Amino acid sequence: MQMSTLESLLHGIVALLYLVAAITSLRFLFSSRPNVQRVSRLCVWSGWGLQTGLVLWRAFRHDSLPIHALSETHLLLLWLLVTVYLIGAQRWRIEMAGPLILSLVAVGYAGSFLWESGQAYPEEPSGGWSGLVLAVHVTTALIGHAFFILAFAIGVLYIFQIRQLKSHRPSGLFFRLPALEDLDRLNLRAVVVGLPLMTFSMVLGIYYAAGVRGMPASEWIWHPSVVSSALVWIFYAALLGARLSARVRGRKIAVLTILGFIIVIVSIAMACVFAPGLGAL
Amino acid sequence: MSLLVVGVSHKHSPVEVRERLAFPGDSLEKGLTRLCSSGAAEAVILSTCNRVEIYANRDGGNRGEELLDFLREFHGIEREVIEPYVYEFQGSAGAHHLFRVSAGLDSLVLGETQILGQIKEAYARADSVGTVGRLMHELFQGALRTAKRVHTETGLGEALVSVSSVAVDLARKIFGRLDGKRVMLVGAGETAELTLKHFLEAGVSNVLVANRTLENARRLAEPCEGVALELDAISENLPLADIVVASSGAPQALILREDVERALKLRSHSPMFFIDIAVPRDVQPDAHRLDNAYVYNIDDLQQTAAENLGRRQEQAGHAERIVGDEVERFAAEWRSRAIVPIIRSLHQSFRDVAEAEVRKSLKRLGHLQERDQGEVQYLAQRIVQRLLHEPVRELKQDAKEGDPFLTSAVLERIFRLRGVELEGPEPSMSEAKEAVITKKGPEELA
Repeated sequence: MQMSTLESLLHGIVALLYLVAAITSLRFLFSSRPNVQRVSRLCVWSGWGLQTGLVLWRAFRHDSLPIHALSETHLLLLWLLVTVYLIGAQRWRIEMAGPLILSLVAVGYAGSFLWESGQAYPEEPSGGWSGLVLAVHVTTALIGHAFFILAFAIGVLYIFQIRQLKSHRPSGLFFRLPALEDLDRLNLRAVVVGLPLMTFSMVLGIYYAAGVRGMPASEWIWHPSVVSSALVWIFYAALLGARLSARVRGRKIAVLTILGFIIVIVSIAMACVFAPGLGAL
Repeated sequence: MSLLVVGVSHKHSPVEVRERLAFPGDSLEKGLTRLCSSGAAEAVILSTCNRVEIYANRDGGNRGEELLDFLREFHGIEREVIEPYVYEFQGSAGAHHLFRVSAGLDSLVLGETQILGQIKEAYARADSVGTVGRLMHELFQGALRTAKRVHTETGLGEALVSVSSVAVDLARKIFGRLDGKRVMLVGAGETAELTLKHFLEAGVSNVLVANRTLENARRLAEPCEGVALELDAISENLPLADIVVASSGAPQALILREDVERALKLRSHSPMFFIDIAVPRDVQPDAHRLDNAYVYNIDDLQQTAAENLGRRQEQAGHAERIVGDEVERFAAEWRSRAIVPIIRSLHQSFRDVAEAEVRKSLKRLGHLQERDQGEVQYLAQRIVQRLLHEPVRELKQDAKEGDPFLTSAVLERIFRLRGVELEGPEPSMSEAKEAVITKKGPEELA
């Protein structure tokens, strides 16, 4: 599953495009020059298009989704994150979250180059029913995580806006970013979409371990990836419950989504370090 | 044919002069018609509370003087009353002036966008009476394009600069859309009334008015189908309000931190925005520390308005550069259009030669069938097109960058083109600058 030189080169170009997109979208936030925005959009769409091609090419070549090595799932998560961001930018007008999301993607890409592990996970199926269950399990988990990361970016914007308002000296940037209520609503939407996906992925994961692989519960229930995923799920379920019951909203929810992002990252890292395998995510 | 601008504006003339020169109602159409019947090929009159300007396409004579006379005669004003305040621009300098006006760079409030609508209306009214030709069309299209570029590339008009509009803008940044939001006025003074007007324009539809005198509260509430309250009822009704505009002038705070805290709980922590323009303040400042409560007093709003104005001034330099670019573009395009008659004549002359030669040849080639004869004629025309393609392109470029009169004179001499009149190009930029100097500048007016 090691990448060819050409693949590595193309991924390098994708990373560079995302980096330029992150820098130019940040520049646009402060300058509001349409040309800068055009360059940013061009870079992010070009990067996404090229990465989509790479994902598809890899999928066709190996006759399965690129989820059979740590580096593959890592890059797939980044691709899904950009996809979710692009959809969000079109439907929910959250383009202003671009600098943060694209910076995360660029950093994530840099991380994948520094810490590339092309080694395939052992004994994981890639075809048939079990392969399909596994692919859906991993993909839905990744999409769920992408939405949680989006909620984090929106939470950061919310905190920035609140600080500006509370300071009584709002800057020019404050007037260009979305309204607080809009950000609060978008934050809720991101969690509302992400949590069911995560739930579905976890149910499918249990079915895969117990039903497809026939593993006894004692073998997987305390597996680090299961524990970390359960922690993430419990955290976001509690957050959503609190938000929907209207006990907590606004700044506290934004802070919690930022905290949630840290839990997501720690859970991914823990699962990768202690149990590298498909269940890592 | 040349562009001429004559007018007065808030910068150099008092309102007593501007109001006498204004074109209210249908007098604007009458003025336009009279202008065009007295020698102007095209005309647009921009008449607002801050400026009265005539944009005309007028050739020959002392054109500025003639427009001044028109203004004087039309309004029946003595020359000495208006002469000290009138400015005049010619050629590209006129375009430069209009482009600056459209971008809000010449406005009383730097960067305001209201003028853009007024320019569009002035153009539409002139168009409706048929006083808009090619020059005015190109000129005003250029002005609208410039304004659009300035506002998208600099954000010059983004940050609002009056206290009431800043308050509405801040509310928008908290709630997003203001439709369906409820405003509570505490006090029914003039400032509160003005702020309420801004909120109603922004889409707010539910209004509560609390005042010491219930009668005054009703006076404000009834026109917008609001509810009048006594001051005692504020605390009870506070949870219903998303936005509170406080201006009662009461000696002590009417809305305490505890009231806000209780209201927030009852509202499930939905945000509340307090605009406290009263002195002494009506809202306890401590309330601002509560989550989801935002309290802005008059100083905060004035400070934000001042900072917004500062931001606009920072962007003004960039906006001026855009105006400069667009004037260059307009002047270049206009110069290149001036060469069109000579190009047309050149094409016609070449086509005539080709047709004459084809006719001669076809007499000798009598055996050719009709279809073949057509092919020969088509071939000759294609050769003419191909031969002229590159020179015409160069010619247009040359006209954009240089003097189209000189180029056309050379072409007329070389190809013996007769009776071609150029369509009066704009003066070059250097000529335009000279024209600016001839106007009555601010120093002279002072």
